Amino acid sequence: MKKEASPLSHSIPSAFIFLLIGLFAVSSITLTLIGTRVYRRVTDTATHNSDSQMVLSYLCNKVRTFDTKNSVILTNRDGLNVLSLHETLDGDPYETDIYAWQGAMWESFQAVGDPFAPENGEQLVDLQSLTFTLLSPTLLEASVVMPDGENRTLRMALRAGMVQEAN
Amino acid sequence: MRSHQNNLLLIEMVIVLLFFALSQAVVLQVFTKAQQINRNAEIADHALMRAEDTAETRAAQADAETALLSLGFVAQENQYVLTDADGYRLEAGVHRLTQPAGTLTTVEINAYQNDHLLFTLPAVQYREATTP
Repeated sequence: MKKEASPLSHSIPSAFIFLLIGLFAVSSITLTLIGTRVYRRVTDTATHNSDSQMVLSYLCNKVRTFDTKNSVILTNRDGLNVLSLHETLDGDPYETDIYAWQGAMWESFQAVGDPFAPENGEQLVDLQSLTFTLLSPTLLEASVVMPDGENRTLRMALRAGMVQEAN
Repeated sequence: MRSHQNNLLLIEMVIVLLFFALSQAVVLQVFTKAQQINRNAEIADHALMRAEDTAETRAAQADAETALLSLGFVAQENQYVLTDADGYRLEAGVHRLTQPAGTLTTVEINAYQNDHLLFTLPAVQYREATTP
């Protein structure tokens, strides 16, 4: 006598297979989402670290380049906190001004004595604010707030020259 | 015969399920490690910035100890320690080599994360002896 298979004995393996496929799909999606989040976080951190690092390195290199007697001047122009770096080219004095204006860092190069106009400079990188503070006659601090709100500071000891504050 | 086939299928499914679970565990571990490496890099970056600031402040001031204390370092057993909320610790040791011609001061700044040394930054300054 032939024994008939019950419908239940067929449905259990089929249901199990579907369950397994479902489980695979759910776990794949979950892993993909976690992976995306981790990747995004890693790249975001790397990007904003390199952005703020780039700004501070740029400032540091500029100050180091101009670090001669009376060449690094901290001043205030049109209400802007300006780092003015002076040099003499072919006997004529010139200045490179670095400042934050309209949500970005700007640099302008002009002859000493020319009227200061922030819009004449070159826009370098986006940031919320850039502040220079003279902590001692030979110690300058630059504080940068990046567009994402990250705050970074950099201190620079001036080897040869004194920073003068003038308005 | 059919029952035997069903059992084989069931075993196969269980093996596949175990393989999924194992793969998931490995991949999650890799993700966790990537996140940890990223966090460590961020901490090391912040520690380096702080150590450089310390070296610069020290260079601008005549007295190393005063410079370290002004930055928030705390004197502890022949060295100065700064613990940051970011998860790193800076330890600075001041060594002086005094000769008749002048003094060579070395501030050795060590950065640690969970007692693991991240880097060492020496800040050296020579000052000539003042003639009376």
